Amino acid sequence: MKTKLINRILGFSRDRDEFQYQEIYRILGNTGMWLWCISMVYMFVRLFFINYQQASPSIDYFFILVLNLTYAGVITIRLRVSKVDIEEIYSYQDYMIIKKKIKWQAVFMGITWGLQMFTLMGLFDFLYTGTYTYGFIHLTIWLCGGALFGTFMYFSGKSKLTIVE
Amino acid sequence: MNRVAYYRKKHGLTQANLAKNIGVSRQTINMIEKDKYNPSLLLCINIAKALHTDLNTLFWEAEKDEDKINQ
Repeated sequence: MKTKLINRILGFSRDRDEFQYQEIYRILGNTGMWLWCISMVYMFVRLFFINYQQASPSIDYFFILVLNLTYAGVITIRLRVSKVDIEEIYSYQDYMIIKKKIKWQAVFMGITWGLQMFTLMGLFDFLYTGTYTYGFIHLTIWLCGGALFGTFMYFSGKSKLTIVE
Repeated sequence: MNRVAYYRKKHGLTQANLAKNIGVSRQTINMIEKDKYNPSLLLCINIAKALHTDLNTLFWEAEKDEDKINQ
């Protein structure tokens, strides 16, 4: 079924061999990833202009948002189901070292995400209202959001570690 | 480097002939010979059968064998 679909989409009259399919999967994977990145950038730019023009997001904007979220969700679930995202560790010492590394990465990600969101939301608020109202309260809220995000990322990263006895 | 090209030429086969015999494309044989593609075990076995040899001869310790040939 998958082979037939690839042949039909790419316009092949016959099946390819293993090397060609490997190349096709690599090319499709890379282009899919780039398409996702480009659509995310497009959404960000659209959001910028929506705020600047004080307009409401149109239906196609939400459609692309749902599409991107579904794409990201499907990839995450399929990676988890196929267990390729699992990292096997062969000693408790190594597990503790990697866990500590993940903890600091999560702290960094949480703070970065919080500050990034604070800046962006402040910018969008400024574009929409024309006045900059973001202050210490908003910074605290977004840093709390960052702490939650960091905590989620920490547990998500930790769940991928498996000690093999 | 593997010895697919050496054994293919020894049997008087072109890349296209070998590819046709084992049901892959000529490009795949070319990439295997250039060591730019690691074939599956099944394909390795098919190549070995087509060239009337074994996997060790084609893919194992090729450098030592090439040294012997060069000597």
